[in-house]
Amino acid sequence: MNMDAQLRTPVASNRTRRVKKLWTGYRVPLILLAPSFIFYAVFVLLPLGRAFQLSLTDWNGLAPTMSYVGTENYTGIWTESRFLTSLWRNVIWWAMHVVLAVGSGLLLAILLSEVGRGRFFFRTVAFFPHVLSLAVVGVIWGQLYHPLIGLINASFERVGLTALTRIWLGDPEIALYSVGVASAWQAYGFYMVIFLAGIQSIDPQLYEAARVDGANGWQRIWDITIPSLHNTMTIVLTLAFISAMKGFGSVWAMTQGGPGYASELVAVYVWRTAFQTQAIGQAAAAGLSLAAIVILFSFLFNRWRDKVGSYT
Amino acid sequence: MISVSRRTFVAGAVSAPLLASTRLSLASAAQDGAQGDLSLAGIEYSYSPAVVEAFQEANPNLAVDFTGGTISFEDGQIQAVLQSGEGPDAVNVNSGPGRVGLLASSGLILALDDFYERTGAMETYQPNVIEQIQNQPPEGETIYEVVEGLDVFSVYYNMDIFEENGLEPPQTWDDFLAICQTLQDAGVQPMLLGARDNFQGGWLFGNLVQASAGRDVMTEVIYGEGDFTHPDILRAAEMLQTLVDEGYISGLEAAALEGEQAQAAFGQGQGAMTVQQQSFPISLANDGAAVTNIGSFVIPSLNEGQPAAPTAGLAHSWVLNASSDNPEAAEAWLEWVVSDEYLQIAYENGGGLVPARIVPEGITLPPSVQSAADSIEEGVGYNPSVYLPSAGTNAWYAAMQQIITGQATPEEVVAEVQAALEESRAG
Repeated sequence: MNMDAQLRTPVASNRTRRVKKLWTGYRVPLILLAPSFIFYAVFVLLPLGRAFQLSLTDWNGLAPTMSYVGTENYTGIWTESRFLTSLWRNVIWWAMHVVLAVGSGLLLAILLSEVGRGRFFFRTVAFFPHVLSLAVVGVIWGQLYHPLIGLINASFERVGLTALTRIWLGDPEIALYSVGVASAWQAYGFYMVIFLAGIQSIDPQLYEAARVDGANGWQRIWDITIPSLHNTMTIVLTLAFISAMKGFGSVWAMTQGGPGYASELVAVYVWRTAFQTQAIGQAAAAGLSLAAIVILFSFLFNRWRDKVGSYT
Repeated sequence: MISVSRRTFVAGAVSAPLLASTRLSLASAAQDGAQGDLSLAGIEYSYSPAVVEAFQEANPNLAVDFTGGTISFEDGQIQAVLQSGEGPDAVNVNSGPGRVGLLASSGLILALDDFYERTGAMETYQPNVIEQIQNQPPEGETIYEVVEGLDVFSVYYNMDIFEENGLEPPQTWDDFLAICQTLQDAGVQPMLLGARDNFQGGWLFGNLVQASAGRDVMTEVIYGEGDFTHPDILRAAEMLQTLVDEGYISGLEAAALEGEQAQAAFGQGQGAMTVQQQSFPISLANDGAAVTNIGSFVIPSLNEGQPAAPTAGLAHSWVLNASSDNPEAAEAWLEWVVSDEYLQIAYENGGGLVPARIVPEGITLPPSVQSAADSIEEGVGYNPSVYLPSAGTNAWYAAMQQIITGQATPEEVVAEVQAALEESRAG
C-alpha cells in the first residue's frame, strides 16, 4: 500500500460510515419522499431548466435549430413597455383579487361561522362557483356582460340606471376590471373554505370570555377572529398573490387580452409571444421572470409576516 | 391539446346507392394498395363525415380515423401535434405563409411536388392558388399543402332594411358613408362587427385596405419590402377610424362581441351590414334564418380607375405530417381530396368554401360560392390576416382592435405593424 492509499483509507471509511449512518437514520423518510421528488424533478425542475435554456435562445418553436443569444431576451422584455405594462396589470389584478376574492371569502367565512341551521347548505352554495372551470366562468360572465343581451346591462336599464350600463368587455378602460370581477367570483369560495377552517380552530373560550366582558359582535371579530387568523391570512395572501400573478384562464376566455392589449396579463403576454409571434425564447424569459418575482415576493412576504407575527 | 370529439367513421352511406357505387370505384381506383391505419385531423366541415365515409368505403383495407375540431396555429396546437413525433398522418390547418410556410421551414411537413406531378393537380388547381402556395418559405418553389378552399370577404347587407330606406349598394366611398348616415338617421345600426376573436375585424380592415391601397401595394408589403406605413394603408386605418368615430360601427361593442355573435345579431336584423365570407348565407340558412333578403357588395375603391374588389385568402389546407407512420395512406387521402368526387360530395353536403381547384362540369356551386368564385377570377385583394407573417398578423389584429376602441391613432398602429414586419423580415 503506497502513502496515498494509507492516507485515504481512514477518510474513505469515515465517509462510508457517515453515509451508512445517514441512510440508517433517514431511510424511511427518504424512501417516502422519493416518488414525490421524482415527480417534482420530472414535471417541475426539468421543465424549468429547459425553459431557462430556451430563454437564452432565439428559438421560434418550430425550427430544428436555435442560436444562443445570452441575456438578450431578458433585457428585451425588461425594456419593453408592453411587458412592463402587463406586469403592472398583474399588480392591479392582484389588488382586485385580494379585495374582491379574499375579502369576500373572509366576510362569508365569518358570516357562515355564525350560521347554525343550514350551515352545510350555505357553505356548499357559497363554494359552488369555485368548482366551475375558468372556461365555464368565462362563458357565463361573457353572457352576463354581453353588450346586446347581457343581464347586467338589462338589469340596470330595467331599474332605471341606464347611466350605469357599460360595454364591459369592449371598453379598454374597464375590461380588465370586468374580467377581474368574474375571476374573483370564481375564486372566493376557495379562500372562504380556508378561512372557515382557520375560524374553526379558534378556541371558543376566547369568544365566551369576550362575551362575559361585554364585547359586541364587531369587537369579537376585530379583536379575536382577525388576529387569530394571522397564519391563515399569511397562507391566503400568499396563495392569492401566486394565483393573481399566474392569472390567465378567465382573461383568455373572456377577452384574450384585448381590446388591443388592454387586459393583457403577463401569462397572456407569454402565450401570445410564444404561439402567436413564435418567439419562444422571449416568452420563456417572460415566464421565468414572472416566476422569479412570485418566488421572491412570496419569500419576502412570508419572512415579513413571520417577523410581524412574532411581535403579536 | 385538441379539444375535439373523436370519431371513427366505418359504415353507412349518405349518398344515393348508385352515386355511391360510382364514387366508390373512382375513390378507390387511385389508391390501390393503401392499407393500415390512417389518422386524419383538422377543421370539421358540414361535409367532413360524408367525404371520410366515402373514402373509408372505397378503401376497406384502411382504418380511417378522423378527429374533427379546430387545430389552430395561433393556439399552438398544430405545432405541438406535429412536434410530438406522433400525431395524425394528415392535418387540415389554417393556410398562409405565416402558418404552413413556418411548418415547412421547420421540416414538420412533407413536400408535395411529386404528389402534384403524379396526380396532375397542378393542372386541375386554380393557377392563382398554385402560384400562392409555391411562393412560400422556405424555398419559394416547393409545394407543401393541398388547399381545401378559399374564403372571399365582402359586405353583406339586409336588403329589406336597404329597401325601407331607399338605399342601393354604393358606387363610391362617399356613397358608402352616405348610406351609413342614412341608416343611422333612421335609427338602424349601420354595421355590425364582432372583433373580440379578431377574425371579422381583420376582414373589415382588410377590405378597407383593399379599397384604399389595392392589391399592388399589399403585394409589395406581403412578398417584398413594402412599407405598411404607406399613405394608402394609413388612409385605410383612417377609414376604419371614421366608421367608428361617426358611430357607423360601435367600436366598443365590436370589441366585446365575437364574430359569431355579430353574425347572429345581423341574422336577427339588428344591423344593416356586416363583413363576412361567402359561406355566411349558407351558415344562416343552416341556422334556420331567412337568407333571401341578404345581398352583398364590395367596398368601392378610393383609387380612380381601379375596380372594387373583395379580399380573399386561402382558408384551410391539408398538410402531411413528416412523422407519419403511413405516408402512402396519407397521400391516398390527398388524392381523394383533389378528386372531382370529393368536391361533389362537399357541395352536396353544405360546403361553403370557394373551390381551390377548377370546377369540373356537372358540379353546381351554391350561389354565394359561385359569386365569390367569379370575383376571384376578376381579381381580388389580400386578406392580410392570412398573408402577413405571424408576428405581423398579431400586430395587425391589435391595430384593428386599438383603432376601434380608440386606444391608438391610425399613424401609431400602422407604425406598430410595420415594426413587427421589419422584425419578422430580419428574423
